[in-house]
Amino acid sequence: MMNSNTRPDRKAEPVVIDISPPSGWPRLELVEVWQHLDIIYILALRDIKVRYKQSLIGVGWAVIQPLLTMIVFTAIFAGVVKVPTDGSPYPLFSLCALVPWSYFVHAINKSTTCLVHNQDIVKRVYFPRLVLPIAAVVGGLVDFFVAFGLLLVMLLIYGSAPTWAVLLLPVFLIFAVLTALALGLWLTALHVQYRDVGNALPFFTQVLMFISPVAYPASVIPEKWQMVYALNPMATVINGFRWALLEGQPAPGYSSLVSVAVVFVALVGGLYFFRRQEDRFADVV
Amino acid sequence: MSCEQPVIEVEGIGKCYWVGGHQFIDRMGLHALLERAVRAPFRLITQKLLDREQAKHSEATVGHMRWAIRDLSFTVARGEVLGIVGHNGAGKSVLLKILSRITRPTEGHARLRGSVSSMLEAGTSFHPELTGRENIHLSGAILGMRRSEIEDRIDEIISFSEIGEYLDTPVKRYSSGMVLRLGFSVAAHLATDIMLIDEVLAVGDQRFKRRCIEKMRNVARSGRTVLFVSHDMDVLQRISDRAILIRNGRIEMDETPERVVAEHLASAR
Repeated sequence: MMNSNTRPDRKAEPVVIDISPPSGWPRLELVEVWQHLDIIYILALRDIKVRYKQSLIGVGWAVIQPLLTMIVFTAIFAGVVKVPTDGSPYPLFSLCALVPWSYFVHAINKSTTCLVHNQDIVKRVYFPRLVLPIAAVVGGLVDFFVAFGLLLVMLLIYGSAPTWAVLLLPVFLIFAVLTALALGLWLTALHVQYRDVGNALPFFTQVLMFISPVAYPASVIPEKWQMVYALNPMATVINGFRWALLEGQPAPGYSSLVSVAVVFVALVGGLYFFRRQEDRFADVV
Repeated sequence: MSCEQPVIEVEGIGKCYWVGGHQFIDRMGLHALLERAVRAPFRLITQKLLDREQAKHSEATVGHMRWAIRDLSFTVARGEVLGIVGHNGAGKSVLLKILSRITRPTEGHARLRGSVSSMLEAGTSFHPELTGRENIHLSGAILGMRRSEIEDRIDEIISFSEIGEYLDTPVKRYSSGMVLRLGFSVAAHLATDIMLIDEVLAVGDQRFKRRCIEKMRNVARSGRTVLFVSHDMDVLQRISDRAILIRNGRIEMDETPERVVAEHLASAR
């Protein structure tokens, strides 16, 4: 058990730190993470600053990537292959998926490497290590909002008015963040020990994109496979984004509950796994 | 005030490292590793079985384990400056790493009554991409301090470190001396009860060394506890109230600095 030093100044509540060998199942100590919210903020801010400091286009990168992908997708999937879109213009249809998708890929990439990247501080000072993947996943939201700006512009250009469902957009965004965090926790903890994770990740995300409804609508999946399809939570995130932003898109069905269950299990499991591995991070990083 | 209770209590602390190769794959093989991963969720139910199995494992492989430190016990009183002496590889840094909670011990336990700031591995907990000022805030945040508490001390930290105009430059562009000065300054000025210092003085120049020594004395006088590792016997005798000598991971001596230094120097010949 470790009690964090909350307020070093107050002599009234003396800090006691107990140090003992790791044993059994770890405690999550989420309160301690909460007390270190400042670190999350500082690290997330740092990531943003550093990324755009020595770059010409700067924050434009957050726009260029989904924009170019949208153009290529439109040319191929709307122009050549004629993919159905449930009645929406293909550029809007794909961009609604590409914006949360880019966030997701960016967030899991960031969090996978966060411990190795921050090894200078991990090896030299104690703080709840959980703040690192959280900072990575939360920091990625800045890029998301920039790209979301592009999406709004596109909606305006097409004169597409959202329905009341847009009010639920934040829910789907939070769900995307939790999905990224759940997966990120597992990948981060594994990456410290096995760098294979870093090598496998680009391939993994690519495959994941094909099994997510980024370029095509989820409605092309046969009804009896919808539950299986929803095992991938990003399917629900993308369906939700489309439904919230575009008129006439089908609402995410009951299969969304499968996604919620998957994220819940992966997140709780990830938290425990991360905490279990945490004791070894400084030794093996 | 809890003057009677020691600020640091260490009881039978030991840390075992796996030497050579990949710790888990080599020890257990990929197959056993996967098996372990599958079993992990059932750990609670099969805890007993597993304990037996693990005992078997550690018996079989104990030849490859090395105890970096073992059976260390000592206490440190409030306001005391404890010097830690030992040859390279004796286990001094491992001890400080355990006390600063960077790594966990394999056995034994320790209790620290108070918050801890540390400066380990002849370096700092700074992030190279952040500026000096941002790093001061980061260090404070890591200690759980509030923004205002950090702001209160930032002038002192800056003036002691003498980094002046470089304050808003990323730390990666600092000279090693500047990093060192800022690191020491942050560790010394943040409001922690315990300060753990590993080999800081080895790299600084004479003037900085003098100021550090003076600062550490002040820190101790204000009721804070200092644990520090140094190969500089002269400095050690000047500032510590007590010293321990670590040899091959065990405490050989726990005495006045003079006698510990004399013993250490005698064994070096």
